[in-house]
Amino acid sequence: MKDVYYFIEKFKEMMHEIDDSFDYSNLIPETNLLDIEGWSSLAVVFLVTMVDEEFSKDISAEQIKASKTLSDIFNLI
Amino acid sequence: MVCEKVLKGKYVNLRAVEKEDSEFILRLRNDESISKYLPKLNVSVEQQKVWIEKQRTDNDSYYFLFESKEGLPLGTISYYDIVGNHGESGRVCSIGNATQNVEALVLFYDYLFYELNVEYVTIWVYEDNKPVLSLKQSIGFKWTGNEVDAAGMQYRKGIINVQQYEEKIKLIKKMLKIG
Repeated sequence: MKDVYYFIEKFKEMMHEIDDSFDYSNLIPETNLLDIEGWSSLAVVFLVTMVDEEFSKDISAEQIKASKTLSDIFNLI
Repeated sequence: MVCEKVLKGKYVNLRAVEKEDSEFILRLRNDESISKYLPKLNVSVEQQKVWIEKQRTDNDSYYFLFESKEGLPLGTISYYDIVGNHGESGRVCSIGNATQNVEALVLFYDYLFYELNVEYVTIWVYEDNKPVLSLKQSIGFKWTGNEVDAAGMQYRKGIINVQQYEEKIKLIKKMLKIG
């Protein structure tokens, strides 16, 4: 079932793909995006593609920018 | 120095800054929310035009503006303090979205490494500018040390060469759905 915890696991994989030097084991739905190590414009770009591939949903960079937490992004899906 | 051609991407175009861009650049550079980590430009539009005209004839820098495919100016990026086949990159500020900003970086570094055959590029980023530190590291920059500026703010120094860039760029271009 592709719930928020599935999304977070895919998010972790995505972030590791960008930069595997950070530890993402503590990410939870309430995690603030700006507190995530490695969060950047590039992560936003990767996230747009990940959501498209995993959830067949189009979300925009602007929608991600307006989101505060991981669950905010999941709610867009 | 001037890049004579327009570097065309899927989401943005990159071109040499012209004096007509002065007002936009000053607006961007003096907006705290956009250019918090860049020095303010306490100059008039006319003074900025003169500076740009001079920069275009200097032989130690390239100054780019990137714009949307509809021609809306979005931001700037520069390669300067060029000595031989290396230099520093900076003067990055933008009102673009993430996709536009990342592609602008790709067009810029592709130009540096594959057309100018630059050997390496250096940067420095303030330590509390976390998103930019992450972005630069993600495209291949390696950190070489920390220093403190005249105001006591800590910054990190970084460097990238073409091999380090190529380790990252293929996946980035795939995510952007470009080249």
